[in-house]
Amino acid sequence: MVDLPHYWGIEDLPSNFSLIKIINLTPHNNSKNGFSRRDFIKISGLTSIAALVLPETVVAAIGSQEAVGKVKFLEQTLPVLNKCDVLIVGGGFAGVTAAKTFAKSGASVVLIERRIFLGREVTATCRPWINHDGLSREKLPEAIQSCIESTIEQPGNEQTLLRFNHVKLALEDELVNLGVEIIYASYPIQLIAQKEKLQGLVIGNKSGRQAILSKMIVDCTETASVLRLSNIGFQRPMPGLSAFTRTLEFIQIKPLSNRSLAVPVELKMKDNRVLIQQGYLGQNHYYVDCTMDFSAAGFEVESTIDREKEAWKRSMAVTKHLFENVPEFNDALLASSSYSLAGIYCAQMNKPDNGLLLALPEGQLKLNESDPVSVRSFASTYKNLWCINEAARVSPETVKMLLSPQGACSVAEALSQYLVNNWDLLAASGLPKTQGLSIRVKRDNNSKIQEQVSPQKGRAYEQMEVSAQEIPFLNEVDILVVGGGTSGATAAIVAAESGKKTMVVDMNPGFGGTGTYGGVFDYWGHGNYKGFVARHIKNMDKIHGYVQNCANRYIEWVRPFVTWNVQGKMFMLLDEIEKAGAQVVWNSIVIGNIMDGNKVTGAVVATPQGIVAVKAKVVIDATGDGDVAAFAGAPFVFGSSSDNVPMWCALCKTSPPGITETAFQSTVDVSNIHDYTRAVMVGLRSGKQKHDHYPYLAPRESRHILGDVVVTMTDHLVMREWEDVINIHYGNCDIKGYHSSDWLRMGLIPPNVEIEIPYRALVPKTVENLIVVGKAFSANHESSATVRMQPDLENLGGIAALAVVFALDTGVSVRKINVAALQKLLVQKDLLPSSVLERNIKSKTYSSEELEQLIKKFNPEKSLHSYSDMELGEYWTERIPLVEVCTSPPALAIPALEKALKESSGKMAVRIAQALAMLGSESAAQTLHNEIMSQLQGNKLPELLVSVKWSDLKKTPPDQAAIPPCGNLIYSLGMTRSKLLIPVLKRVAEIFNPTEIGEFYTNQFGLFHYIDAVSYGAQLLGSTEAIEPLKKLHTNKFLNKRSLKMGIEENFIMERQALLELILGRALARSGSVEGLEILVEYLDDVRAVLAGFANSTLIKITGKDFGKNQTEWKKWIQSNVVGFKPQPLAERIDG
Amino acid sequence: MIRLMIFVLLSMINPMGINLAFRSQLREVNTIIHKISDENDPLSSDEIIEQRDENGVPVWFYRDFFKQVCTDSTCKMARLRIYWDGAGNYNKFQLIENEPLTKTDHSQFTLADYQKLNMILADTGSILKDLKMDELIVKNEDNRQVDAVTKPTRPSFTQYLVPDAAYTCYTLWHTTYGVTRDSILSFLDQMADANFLKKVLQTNESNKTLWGISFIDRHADFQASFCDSILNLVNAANQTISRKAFDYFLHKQIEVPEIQQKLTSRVELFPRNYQLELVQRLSKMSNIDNGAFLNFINAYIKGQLDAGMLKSVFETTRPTDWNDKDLINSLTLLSTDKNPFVREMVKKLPVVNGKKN
Repeated sequence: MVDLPHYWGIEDLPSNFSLIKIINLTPHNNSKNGFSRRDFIKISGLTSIAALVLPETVVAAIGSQEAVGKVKFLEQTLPVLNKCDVLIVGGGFAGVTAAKTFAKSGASVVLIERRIFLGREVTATCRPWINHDGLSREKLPEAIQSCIESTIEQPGNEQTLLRFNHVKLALEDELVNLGVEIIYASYPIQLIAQKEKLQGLVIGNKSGRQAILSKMIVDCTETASVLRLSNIGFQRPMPGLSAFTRTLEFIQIKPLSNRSLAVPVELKMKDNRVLIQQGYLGQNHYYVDCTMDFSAAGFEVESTIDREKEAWKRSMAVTKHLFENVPEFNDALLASSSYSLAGIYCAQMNKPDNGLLLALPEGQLKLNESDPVSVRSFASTYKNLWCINEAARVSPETVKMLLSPQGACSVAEALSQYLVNNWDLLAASGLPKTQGLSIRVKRDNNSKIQEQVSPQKGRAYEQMEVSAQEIPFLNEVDILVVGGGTSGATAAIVAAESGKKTMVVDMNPGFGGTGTYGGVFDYWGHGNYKGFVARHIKNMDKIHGYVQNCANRYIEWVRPFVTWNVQGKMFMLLDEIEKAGAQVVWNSIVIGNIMDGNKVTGAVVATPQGIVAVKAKVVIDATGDGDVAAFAGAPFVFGSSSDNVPMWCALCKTSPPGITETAFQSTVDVSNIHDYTRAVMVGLRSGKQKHDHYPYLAPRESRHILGDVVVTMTDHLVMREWEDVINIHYGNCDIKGYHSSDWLRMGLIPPNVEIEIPYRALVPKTVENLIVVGKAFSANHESSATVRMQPDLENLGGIAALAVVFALDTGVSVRKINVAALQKLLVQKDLLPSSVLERNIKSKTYSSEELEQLIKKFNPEKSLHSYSDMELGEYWTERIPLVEVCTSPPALAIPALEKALKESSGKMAVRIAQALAMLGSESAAQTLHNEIMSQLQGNKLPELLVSVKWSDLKKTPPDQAAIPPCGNLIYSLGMTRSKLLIPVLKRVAEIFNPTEIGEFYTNQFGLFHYIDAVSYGAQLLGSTEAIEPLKKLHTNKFLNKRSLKMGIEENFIMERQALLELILGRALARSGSVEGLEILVEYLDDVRAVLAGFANSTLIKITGKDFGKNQTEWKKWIQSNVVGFKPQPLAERIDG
Repeated sequence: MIRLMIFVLLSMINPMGINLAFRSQLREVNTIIHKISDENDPLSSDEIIEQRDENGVPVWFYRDFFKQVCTDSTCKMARLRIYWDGAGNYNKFQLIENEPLTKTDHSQFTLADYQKLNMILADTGSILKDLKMDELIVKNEDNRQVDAVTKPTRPSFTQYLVPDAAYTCYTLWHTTYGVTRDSILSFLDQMADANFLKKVLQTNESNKTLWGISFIDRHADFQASFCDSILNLVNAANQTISRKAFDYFLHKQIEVPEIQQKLTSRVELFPRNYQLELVQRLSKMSNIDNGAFLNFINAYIKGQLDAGMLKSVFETTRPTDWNDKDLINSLTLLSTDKNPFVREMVKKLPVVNGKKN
């Protein structure tokens, strides 16, 4: 008998379970977990400088309620990310214009933006049009002019229609061309001040915290994020109502003649109407402005999010109404909606000390004839901190002007020019002294907050000492779910429904992560549709009753699988989270953990309203990147174990509106803010003519947090059973990118198998009170290609939440829960088959005779990759003879294979030789060598002639392990570590002669894999004889000097060629060539962080030295070690 | 009906605005017949007809084709006339009355299909360029991505093709960019002399001017004499011409000091993106002409160049001689400039106020 606490859906439990606690859940009652608006949060809205507040004002409020305590960033050094004259915070039209004005004046400018795109007033609000307000189009501000496309037919001279993607790109290009450095996905955290002037700003992002030193800061955020960090204080919000607009984008609407539509009073739209705006695509493309009145409750975290959530709900009710009652909308597709509301996000700031104001040079902005505005209205308590947002002390008319793109541009241009003209008086005279370059950041061991200490491993940054910072608590919860994506949203629903006080923090303005803003709109044919997934499907069916399921309507071939409308799915998840009673904190990221020893007890969250802390009994890391676990010090592997290269990432495109296209082509290190920004900019340029890109960079892979067990591809192939299985995943081997699996190298692409996930893979080593879900759980690079499918990760999130609830209710740590009891519950929930409760797992061992029989079952007439030739939905259940043999003890398997090899010939001998090679036996070498050399007799490298499932001949390698068969054999020969590789390597070098870059684009030619295969063999062999042919390959112009030192490279094939150059460099170094080390050193400062990381980790592995990414030091070491530098064969092959 | 429809369609999409009346008038003035040998296409006409304007500059070329156009299983002959403009770029096609193009299901092309075909043929970089014909359709064994339709077009290609007319599109694209076009380009090369090039550059027609600049780029003999003409085109109102002219200089010409001087002396006339590209191009050279460097400074002093651009010049390029008197004088002037950022920039240069930093 097992005692069970109360769980989501516990009513399904059999009666023989005794429940220790019964809570009468009312599923749709928001306050059931103590989360009513009033008593939900015990927080501080007040910062440490509350004493300066004027009686009628409040200081920068973050939360709305009283503090229960604070946690502290101790005084410490931070890496200096940039030094500049002017730091612009906020990339709306005001920020862009200010940045341009300063840059044109010759200032060095950095612009940070918390989103990953610019032009907020048009893009984030989903309002891609400009009302001219009496101006002719030619008179619109320069920043807006740059956003206008000549190819769009304009409706007259009263209004200009825009295209989102063009707006984002045009603004970005303008800044890049002016030398402005853009940093995305970063939040202001703390001011660096000295007396009356600022000297910089601390920002927070997925890389932790960094300092940006600057002589002046201009706050252009709609939330006045920088001003909130100062002691200026704000007026109380105006009483009465404020209008906010949430805009919906539709296509497939029948032509509408009205500019507004009446809607029923219960929809709570302003004046009971919605406004209609035609889109640039013409007669079937419209935007619907849903303007609503909200009482001015405040601008702190919760009331802002409450308002946004309510706006979501009301606008979806409008969608339903339009679909059901307005004939023109009968066929409409809801394509997109606002990420932010159009409206005011901050109160007016207080007046600083009169003396300070009077010390400022007078100036007036002549924004219109009748209402000149004093520049002092934009001044703060620091002479060099100014704002261009609604916090300015200006009239309501000027506030209105600031809300419009053209008004924001006009104010920004005029004010920035004033600041330039008075620079000597206003700006800091110089930048503060730093502590010099250092790779390692000094941190106080007494700190309760743990964070990522440097944006890039091994890179030296100047260090800046910053003062301590107190962080108010926003809340104390039972379960904090970090990341509301594929796993996290379900985890939050399940945790809250189980009666636990739950908070979910997400970086996006909506839930679903990869399954919504990441551009994935279907379960494809993967995964298990049971359990929580079945519930989501049912809920989506209801929503698809009034929101068209875009996938079914628009894609060229209709997939026989579950699909959804991305907007609909986001709303469904929000609705479920709300009904469950979890607190939502979105548009925010976790930048550090609160720790008690090795226990995670909370998190530090950067929000647009400031930095807050959250206490939690248990944290679920659903970031997908393992951010929380990594901050806490859990061990992890980034990308593949052998070289830390992840699969490609994607910034999803939409074209036409609402129809997603994902193109996974480049790599990103999400833990490096430079690289994150670079990848976003590359992604945005992939599909310039598309309608838009989503606001979330979706990495297929980043960190794999190591648990006590790591799931591998070998586990998939042997269909490994685990005692502590808690979920069963299913999918094909969807490896999009470089891989380091010997199974794939030899040509064996796994079939569609069910994969058991052990509970231990969710619990990180060394860290307590933390569970990891999403694609970052403990599965290696090759395994993650299969186990990361949407439905499986959704269920995994829910299962993890159940486990955490179980731990809390039984008073044990998540590491020590009774997994058997959890499994029983999962069986009840239809998430596990009942057989897991009864089975007796034994590892299968074969006798020599059995192995001989298995070898006879090898079928060389079938290619190894044909195991993957399965339709989605088909399950592979048989044992694969070759796998069974190759995973048997070598002492038994090798003799059996050698015997069979002697008795075989032709294709069978080659197949047996490949199996021997897999076991590292050199006895396979001659057979493989002979076969390869016979295939290399022509003057061209043999091509891939048959498509691999899901990756046809035209796709770009490396993709889905589509490798020419001869390449597979070369990989196998390499595994034998035989010198017979040398003649093969020489022959490949002789006939490898691409003359056009186009030859690298297709699987058919397989060029990527030929280089990788010979390099892999050379690595394992470690022979100086490999140097000459490897050098010859390196002389090819496509594989030479591919490093990129600055800027961005839009063409992804260049990155792949650079990766090949690194692969060659590594092979050369392992063969004893100093030139190989020099190639690697050349990449240490490559702007593509994954490549720089590859170079760095390889240099460390080969030399045993660690000079970080300091090229000078590495060069010095190489100089002094030229003589005597010896081959160093790769000792261990990775278990793929 | 079809003929009328096609005529209307092609008039709409014809960028040169050629109509039948105009053509017949020109025919009386200057029509040239070129005989060609096209062994692979013996059924089509062996003549390319060229029409020239009153200055002797080609207006268009055409050739009549009699092509075998196949669907998935049946082949049919199609008569059509393809036009190229005076620079050898695809212009339009015409069909014989009552002989419309048809699709796999034997239905006739619609107006939208003709429009799409026209767009496909106008696309010089079409995906059809590198494909083999049998790659366009889904083979039976590879039919897993679509509903069961007999040999449908591959889903990934449908946006590039007229629905159910993959082979037709393929055949006509390769006809348009095959032997005939090569011959036309060859005629143009043979015609080119200084007089002809001068007239071509004066047409203010994008395609012809682009061809003229490309020709000069390929023939060094003409470069000196046409330098100023092309320089003037950098400021042409026509963006395509302007871009081509600017790229012409940035490609190689800029390595000549005189060209650097000429370009920088007009820098204030260039849009900012051109200015930036010019600086970036100059930054790739170890040194630039002193006069060119001074031209940038003078443009700033006159208020014709923004300080941000001057900063790029200072940070990324180096004059040949820092000790040049004029340069020192200009930098001295800048060291007291009212713009604080400019004063800072000058401090970082090797020479300020006549002294080495």
